[in-house]
Amino acid sequence: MLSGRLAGLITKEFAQFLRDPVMLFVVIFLYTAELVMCTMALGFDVQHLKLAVVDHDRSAVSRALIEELTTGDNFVLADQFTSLREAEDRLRRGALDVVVEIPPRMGARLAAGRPASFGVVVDGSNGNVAARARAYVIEQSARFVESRRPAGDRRAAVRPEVRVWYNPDLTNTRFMALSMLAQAGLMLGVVLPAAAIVREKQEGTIEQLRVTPIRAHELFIAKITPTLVICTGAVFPALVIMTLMGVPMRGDVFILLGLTVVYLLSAVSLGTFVGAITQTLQQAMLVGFFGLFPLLFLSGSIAPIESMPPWLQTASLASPQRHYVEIVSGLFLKGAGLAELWRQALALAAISGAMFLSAWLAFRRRW
Amino acid sequence: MKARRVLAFARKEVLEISRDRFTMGVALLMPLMMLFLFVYGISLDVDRAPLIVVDHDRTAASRELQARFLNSGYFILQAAPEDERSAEHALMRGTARAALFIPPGFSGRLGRGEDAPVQFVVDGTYASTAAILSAYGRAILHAYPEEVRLPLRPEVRVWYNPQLRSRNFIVPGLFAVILMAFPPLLTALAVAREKELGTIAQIYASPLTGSEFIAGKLLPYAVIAYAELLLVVFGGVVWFEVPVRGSVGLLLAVGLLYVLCTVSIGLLVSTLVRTQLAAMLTALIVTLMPAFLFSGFVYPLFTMPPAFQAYASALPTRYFLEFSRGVVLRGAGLGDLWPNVLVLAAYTATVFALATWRFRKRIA
Repeated sequence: MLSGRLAGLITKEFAQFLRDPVMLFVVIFLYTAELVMCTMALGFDVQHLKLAVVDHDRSAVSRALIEELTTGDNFVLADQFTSLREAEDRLRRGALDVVVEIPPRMGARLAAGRPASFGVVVDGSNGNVAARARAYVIEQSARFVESRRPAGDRRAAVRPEVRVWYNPDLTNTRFMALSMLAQAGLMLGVVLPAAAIVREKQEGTIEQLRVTPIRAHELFIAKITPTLVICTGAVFPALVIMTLMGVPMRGDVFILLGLTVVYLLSAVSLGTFVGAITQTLQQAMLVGFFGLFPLLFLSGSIAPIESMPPWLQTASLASPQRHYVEIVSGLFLKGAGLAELWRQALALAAISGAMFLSAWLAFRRRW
Repeated sequence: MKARRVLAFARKEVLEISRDRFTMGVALLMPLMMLFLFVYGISLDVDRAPLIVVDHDRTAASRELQARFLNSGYFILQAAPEDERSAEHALMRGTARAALFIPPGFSGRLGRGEDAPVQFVVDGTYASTAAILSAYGRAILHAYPEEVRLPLRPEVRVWYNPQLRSRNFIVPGLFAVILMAFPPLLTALAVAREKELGTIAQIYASPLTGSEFIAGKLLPYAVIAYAELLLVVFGGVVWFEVPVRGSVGLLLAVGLLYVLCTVSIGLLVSTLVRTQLAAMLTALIVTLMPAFLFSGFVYPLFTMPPAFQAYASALPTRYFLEFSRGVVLRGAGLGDLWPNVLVLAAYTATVFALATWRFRKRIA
């Protein structure tokens, strides 16, 4: 299979790939520096939200409630106001996240056994933060009510044992690092082969290739090999970085490598498809991103898949990145093996196979 | 800088661009696709998280606890298997996001006045959903077996976006992100292409000065990018009905400044590298990726370590993003947000000057 002609072609592709130092730099950057950046910065640890209090009650109960809300990591007491109007001004400028307003006589109502409520205003300009702040307040006030039940009247209660599996300290960083790993593969896998094919067209060298005995499949293989090899190789520095960043690999390295190759195959297929149907690099890049973004978006790395409407959830099954992200988070976070991941692996293989076939057909027709 | 020469050169660019209708079409379609994906795809309501319930007690009390979870609106029942194992498998496979384990003797313990332990497990893979789900789970468990209405309840109101509709803050964020993601990709190729094709030598030989060259390149792409902005604003406000509390005119005026800024960044990149592909990849790293990740679009800047906050502050996206969200969501005006506009203006001038300087240096 590996004739001298094919070997020569592959050597030429590697040489062209490695000639521009920017290229290798970008590959390494995406697989290492970007991973570090995402792990360090995109933790999404929504803590120490700035909470201000407007206490019209000034009773022991209201003080205890404020104490309950502001002693943990969720909120810090940023300010006290005498009216909501004053707090509103600060909220509008973005200096506060949450304002708690305790109505007059709240303590007295509770002491008399009547239900009471207090007002909470959350800045909604970042919905992520607002949703968390709201959940924290609801949880902490439920706990407050339970803790204040008088000793005599104490009824039996549920003792909640809440655990977070796979990611006990609830940081986003592990997941971010893994989806960056998947993203780097998809992006480079699409961009690089597309550029390699379009370059031959723009420089006119494709005409020269056509008059040589080189066959379509040989050129096809030669165009995708460097990207496959380099991006698979780039997984190794990424593994080292991940281990250093505290996201050790718990599964089987060979399963990771094998499925990475299958995943990259889908990316380079899209890349060659784009390269086959476009004429200039500008076109290729635009069309490439046009195809790449939905795949990236539907992978669940930007927004959780179950929060999408049903039709998008169904569409996401077609994204190779979705299955790959599930595979790598299974391997890295849960220590899963093929027994748990065979569905994703099968789906990935099917998608890659279909994309590979259509890329090959498009490429051959335009050769 | 002579206006006549700039316009003449810009005309040549327009001719070149309009020859390639395909590129133009995709350039205008792309932001719309992003808008649709983000609006339909991102919903932060953590409602309907699939929940596994393993009920070993099977009494009225345990069914009531289960009902509390399902009636809260945050969880839907994925399955109620007999044993822990299949629950663990469901979490492992990712078909469920949380599991509730009610031990045998649950109601018996409560009846005797003892505390009854109940285990609630959340899949931590998506940290932000997991944090919210575990908080809701704790709240429901703490409230049980109390009546559904707690004696003391928080009445939470969310200002500026009361229903927490994600599109209300995603769309104004996208105005900033899309314009940083795509226009620089187009302009990054603009100068590099002339270099690669050798036509740059003709520019060197012409009386065109550096600033005229950069301005001529910039104008047509700025028009395309501004058309992208108008499309996205129109789509967001008219199609997706995102309410704009502030002035649309102000948003579009500062948007023009921002467009000039992002287009110049692409040109600056283009003057720094030799080949089109290198220009593309560099633009990817300095504009597209940070626009999504380090602008406050999804990941709030205050949750980042100081070094990365500084990195985010060194890029213009965050300033327009804050501006856009301020105007659209909070109805803020120039009086509140003038520092952001000032930074954008200074940024644009600096990048334009740097691009011109880089280009001049090449001639010498």
